[in-house]
Amino acid sequence: MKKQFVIVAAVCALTCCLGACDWGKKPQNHDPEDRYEALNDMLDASYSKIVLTVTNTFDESASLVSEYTIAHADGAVKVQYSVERFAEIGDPLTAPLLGEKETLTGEAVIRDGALTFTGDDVGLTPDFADTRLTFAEQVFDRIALTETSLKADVVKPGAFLGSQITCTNMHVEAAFGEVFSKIDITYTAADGSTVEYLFLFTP
Amino acid sequence: MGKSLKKAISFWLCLAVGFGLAAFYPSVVSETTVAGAASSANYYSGITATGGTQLLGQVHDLIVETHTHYSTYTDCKTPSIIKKTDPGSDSSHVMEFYSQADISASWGSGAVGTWNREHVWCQSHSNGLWGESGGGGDLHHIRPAESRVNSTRNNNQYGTVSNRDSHKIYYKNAGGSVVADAGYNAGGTFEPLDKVKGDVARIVMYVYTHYNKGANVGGTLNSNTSGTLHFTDIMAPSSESAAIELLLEWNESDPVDAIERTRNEAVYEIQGNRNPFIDHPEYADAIWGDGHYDPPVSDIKPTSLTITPSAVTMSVGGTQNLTVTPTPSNASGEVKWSVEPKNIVTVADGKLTAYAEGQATVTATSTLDPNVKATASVTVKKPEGGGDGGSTTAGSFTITRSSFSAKSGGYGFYEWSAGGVKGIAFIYASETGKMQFNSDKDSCYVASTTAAPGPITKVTVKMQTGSKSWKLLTSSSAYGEVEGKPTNGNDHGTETVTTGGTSWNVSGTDTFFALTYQDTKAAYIDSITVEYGPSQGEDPTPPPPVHEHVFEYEDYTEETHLVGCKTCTDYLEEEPHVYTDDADTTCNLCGHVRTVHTHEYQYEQLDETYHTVTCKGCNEVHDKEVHEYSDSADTTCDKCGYERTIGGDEHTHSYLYTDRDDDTHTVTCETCGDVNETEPHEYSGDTDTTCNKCGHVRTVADEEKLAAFREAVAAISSEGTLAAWRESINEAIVAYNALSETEKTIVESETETLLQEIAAYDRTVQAYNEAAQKANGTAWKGAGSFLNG
Repeated sequence: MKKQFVIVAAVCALTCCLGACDWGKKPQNHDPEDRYEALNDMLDASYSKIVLTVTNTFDESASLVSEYTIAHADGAVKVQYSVERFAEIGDPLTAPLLGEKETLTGEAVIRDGALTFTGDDVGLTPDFADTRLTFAEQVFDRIALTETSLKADVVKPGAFLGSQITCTNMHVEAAFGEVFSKIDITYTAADGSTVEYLFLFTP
Repeated sequence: MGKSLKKAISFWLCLAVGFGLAAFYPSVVSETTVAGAASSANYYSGITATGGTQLLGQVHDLIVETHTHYSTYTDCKTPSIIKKTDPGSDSSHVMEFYSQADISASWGSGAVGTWNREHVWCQSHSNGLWGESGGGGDLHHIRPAESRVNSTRNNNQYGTVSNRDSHKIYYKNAGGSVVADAGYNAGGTFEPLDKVKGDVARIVMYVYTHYNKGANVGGTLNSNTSGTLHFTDIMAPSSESAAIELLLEWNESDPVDAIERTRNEAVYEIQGNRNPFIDHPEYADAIWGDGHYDPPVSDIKPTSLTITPSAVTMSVGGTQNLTVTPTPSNASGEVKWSVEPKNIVTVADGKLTAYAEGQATVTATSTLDPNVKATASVTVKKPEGGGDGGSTTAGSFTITRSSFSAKSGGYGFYEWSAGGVKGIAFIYASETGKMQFNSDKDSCYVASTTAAPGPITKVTVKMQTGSKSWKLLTSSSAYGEVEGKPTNGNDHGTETVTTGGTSWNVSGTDTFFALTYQDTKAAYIDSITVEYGPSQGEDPTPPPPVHEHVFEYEDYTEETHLVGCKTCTDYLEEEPHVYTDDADTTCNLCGHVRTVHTHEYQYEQLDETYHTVTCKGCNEVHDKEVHEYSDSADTTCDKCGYERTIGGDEHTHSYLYTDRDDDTHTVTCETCGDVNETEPHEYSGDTDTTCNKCGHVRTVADEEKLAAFREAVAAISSEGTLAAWRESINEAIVAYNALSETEKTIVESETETLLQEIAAYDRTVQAYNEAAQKANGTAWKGAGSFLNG
């Protein structure tokens, strides 16, 4: 990542010298394609912490919240996670019932593409190497893009999220400056539940 | 909660949950009559054999064919089922098999004083045919037994235990108290109580008959998990004959009782088949012993009769069997035979004997309805030739399936008779519409054992279906029973026989024939016509015309009348008077009037034990009787007035009642100890909790709690939110756990509903968890740029 940053910085510096762009300033009056490129570049920025909160809502009282806190340290990516699950009644006729939900927790460490974890197994896999969010005009509709925010309907969810998904009504709201402060993605899943991916970034 | 979400429960989730909950939600057999099961009144209407392997085979096929629902091992422990098949004295008990005493209906999973499932025919002696399915789940077979009795019996074979009283075993309750005797066990042999031996024997015979392969027992069908069983597998005697002898002894010494009859009906409703040895214990001796079974004559009137063959051509001196088939098939086939004119041919029990040339009509009239008749025409040919000693009788006889008297049975040699000629054929006797042969069997041919009236000139064979190859042999000597096919005699070649008929023309003097099957698989012959030419012989002498007596009756003595014929002097017999009943004073036949005397008894003291009984009117001494008293304190005989003395060594018992278990207390006399009995607790009513005699306190069902549980189950709803659904289930579970064990047995239906709701809830949350995991996985991939170092 640092290497990429150096290269980009060098290129931008050269470009600035040539007067072709205003690196360091908020994107304004740029060609839209450039602005989306800038957003994609923000995905590669250094953040001290990223908190991803996934909320699955099934009815007015039933929702599951999972939280992944991502941080870089010692050349590795550490992810602390807590994942909610509904508890089955299981052994029946034993009164009273136990809690409605249970929470699985643990910490995963990703180093050189390999993933290890301690704690509860929540099915994390290292198959994210080629997947990432991708901002591009063609994946959006009803776009409201400013220098500090993006609001749009996502018409190509798979291309946006970086993996296959069956859903409807995907919407994204992102807040940014030089880097992201928030990306909030919502959609309706195939089973009718609503899902929210909320990324909160700490520079 | 969206409705689409509910509908979106995946198939595999349902399957996984279904298997997972099998332990909690046992399959429930429908308690309605099995669809298609025949009425028990007509269940045995197809049994026509009288004994031996034929009867065994028919019974085997019947109970296999009607076994339309195979119960499961789980069914055998389901209280709602066992309460029907093995009811106890009340709804909270079932009957323990080996002691026939009450045991709590609740499934106890092996705890002392509770019941579990007893394989009467142990799994380890089933030659691998069953464990917990097939015969191992058959409700006619599996019985509830107290767990310790069950484990003590283990897999011991049934037999006679020497010095059995010193090896008695008991059914004990959880407290260790003896509830009842349960049998005798020693040296690897288990002997049931005398009152249970017949039950065991009839179960063993059922299992043997059902689960042996059809071929082993003379049947044609194979059942679920059938194989080879021997009585020595489960009975202690070392030889099959000794094992059978013991079973027959137990079958007789412990007759069928109400317990078995109730059970048979209950299992019949569930499975569709019956234990034939409970309905007809006489089958056992008829099959394996020296007995004989007479199938009952149907009392159903036929709507029509059919005689086969309906047209007969015979030669003078020949015989032909006619058979009658009623419609419907279960109607009575009993007929009275008659023939007109009487001097051409006679008929007796369907057998024709031809005496003179001419035409005759034979009539079969139903004995139940004289308006139901059938006729057959008979043509009798006069033998050719004159009195110079060279008389000839050219003619023919036709062999069809009706030429055989056997109407049931497996493959074997059976006799036929046609046109005065007799023979044998190796056919499948239960096929009554055609002569069925099969190349796979030990033999496959038909032959004559008596000579045709003349040298055979032509043999014509017709198949009923298909075309098959046959060879004709003729000989001057009789053919007999051989394995395979006969080869002796003159070979007239092999022909392909068709439904249109194929003939061999024969020359020579042979009067015996054999038709041997030369093809493969099954073959079905419709008819074999054998033509023969003139022969040397004497003219047969026709019999005198048959005379039918016209009886008349003449009063003879107080007890008898004479029976004679009005038109001849050949008949004169003395027979007893015939009255309608004991009160009837006039003989129905001769009109003799008798005096009916009604005894008026008087009693006279004889000794301290008996009095005599005589009739005042006829002074006939009938017998002596034991004195009769109203109760143990009564001192005067109710009949003869004898005064007895009570006292001396006798005393008035002082009863002591001691609580024994939840159901019984013991009754003893505090002073003499002579009284030592067990009797059930005595309560004033359904709500009374304390036994009036021993003080035992019982738990009576709390109707309010039962109602609360029922209401809570009814209130469970998945229509609202997940949390509300879970809460409603939780309230029902709380209400359930507030019930006593007795109360829980009352609400088994509502409990099953609760379990179903729990299963549905679990399926739903599993789907939710799956969906969340999938969404999390997508988010994880979307965060790939943040996760790559």
